[in-house]
Amino acid sequence: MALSGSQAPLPVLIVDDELIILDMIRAVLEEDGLAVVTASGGNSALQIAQQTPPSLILTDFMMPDMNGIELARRIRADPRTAAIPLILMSAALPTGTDGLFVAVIQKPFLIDELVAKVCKWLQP
Amino acid sequence: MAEPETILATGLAGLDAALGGGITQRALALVIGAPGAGKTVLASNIVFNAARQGVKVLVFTSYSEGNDQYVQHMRHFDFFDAALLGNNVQLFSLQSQMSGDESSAVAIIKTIRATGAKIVLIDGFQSVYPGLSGQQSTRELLAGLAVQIRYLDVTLILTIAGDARDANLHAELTVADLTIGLSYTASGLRHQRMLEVVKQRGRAQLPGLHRYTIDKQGIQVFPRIEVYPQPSALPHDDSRAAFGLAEFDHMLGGGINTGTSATIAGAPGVGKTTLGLYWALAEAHPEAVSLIITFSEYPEQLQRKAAAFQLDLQGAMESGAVRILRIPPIELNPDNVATLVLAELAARPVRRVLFDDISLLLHELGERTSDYISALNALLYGYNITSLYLLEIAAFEGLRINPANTPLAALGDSVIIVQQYEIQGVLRRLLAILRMRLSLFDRTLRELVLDETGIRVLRPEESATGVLNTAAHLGGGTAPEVEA
Repeated sequence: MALSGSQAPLPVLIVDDELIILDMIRAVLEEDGLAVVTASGGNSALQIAQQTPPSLILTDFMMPDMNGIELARRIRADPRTAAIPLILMSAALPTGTDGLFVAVIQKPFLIDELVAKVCKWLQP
Repeated sequence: MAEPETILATGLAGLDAALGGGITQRALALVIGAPGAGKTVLASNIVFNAARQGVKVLVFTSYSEGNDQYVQHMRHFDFFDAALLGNNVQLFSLQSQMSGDESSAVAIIKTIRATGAKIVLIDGFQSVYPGLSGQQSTRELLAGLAVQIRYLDVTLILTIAGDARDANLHAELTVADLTIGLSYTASGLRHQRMLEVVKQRGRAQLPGLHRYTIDKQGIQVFPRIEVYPQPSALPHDDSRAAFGLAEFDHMLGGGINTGTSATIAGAPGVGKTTLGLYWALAEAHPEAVSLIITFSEYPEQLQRKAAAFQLDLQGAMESGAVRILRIPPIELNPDNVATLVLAELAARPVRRVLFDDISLLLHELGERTSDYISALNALLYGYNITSLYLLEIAAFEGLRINPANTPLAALGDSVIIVQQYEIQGVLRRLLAILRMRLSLFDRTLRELVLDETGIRVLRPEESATGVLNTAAHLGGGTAPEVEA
């Protein structure tokens, strides 16, 4: 995990077990001047978020160690991270996500749509 | 939310037909073929067609052929448009993408995103392989590109030198959404180019090998008619497609059954083409067009022949009632013939099709004859179009048809034969209907007369005494009984 970029005060945390997608989103957000940290699973994402709360969490739904909804519940349950906006990325749109995410985006999305959503939730 | 996947027409009608519509948007498409097969031409034809429609295109030129050489080679084709360069078509050298510190995929994706391209061509993709780091395999690079183009809304076309059925390309073929194989061989004295849609995800392609050509226009693909999708059959009725020759139509029960195929087989000089012209002109109308496919005579020659029998072929052509398509018999390509015919059927309300003379086509078809003609008949039946094939047979050999590789059944629902006989020192034409699958018909031998008044099928009593009996004896047919 590495912090990169310097324009955003806090990094965006991207969580996905598909490394190709993780790298692609990171490259695109960094190209747009955002700081990014990445995690390839729910457990490591939770640790990162608790240690260095990010400005926004972008998470995949289906991951082997912890799915995106469970990750969101734990983030919301922890006072240190409860206010962090979360965006869910998923090929299938799951139910039971009320109040957990600020946005849900269906895979495969257009990368520019994702960037637009991220930028919207990073606005002060 | 992402839009449902759409299909991008390539602008190459034959290729789109072979692909079942075109290339799926956001697909990873491979064009694989030996050097000289036309991979770059095919891929460039596709991307320039798209650019002309306003789509932003990015071309990565290969190591072996940089930007300047690429332009120099492509500018000879009609699809190339120099005005698009720098606008809808951006050219980058693939080498420039490989020289930095970033991985190949990251560098390529960044460039794609920076240009906003929606269709990307990487020409000579195999030249990337030696530059891949130890950590990155071909498969990983391709898989990375395949996933990322879906998120970038980009359709990616890669050309690769090789054979699309080579096991060494397993990694590439596994990842690709679409693989087009091009083969290029010498057959006799001719070059033969064949295209195969080896793999396509999510949509059925036309199976097998399809011929293609490269000329100044670019690429033309001619799908095999044997695998063309059949149109929904139009309703058929008991109507007839008459010749406008009273006695002959009477023998046929009114004419050829509408929507079926028929053959007139005849020796040279018996009047096959003239009979065909009568048939094509009878009832032709701009809303019920007769299409004449000719492999030998030019339209003006046919006009002169028609005029000799007071048939106004020229007027019918000018009104749009008759269309003549002359296809040169030199190195005849049966798939080209089928493609041209189908294009005509799609373009106008054709009701009758005349093929003059089908012998040349049968010769080219060889062992494909039965399948090809059956498929053609089925397509024409689907459109409820009546077709008439003219077929040359040997002179003075009786009422027999034995064209090579051609079962009689494939030649049509109705078969008519016209033969010459020397009878009492005069050459006479004898006509017989051998078969009508859907109709009763007159089984008697008749004399066919062509003179300055036109063409006529004589009633039995009009022929000279003994002519029909002699002919029947020579031809193995049955002479009509004539009342004394």
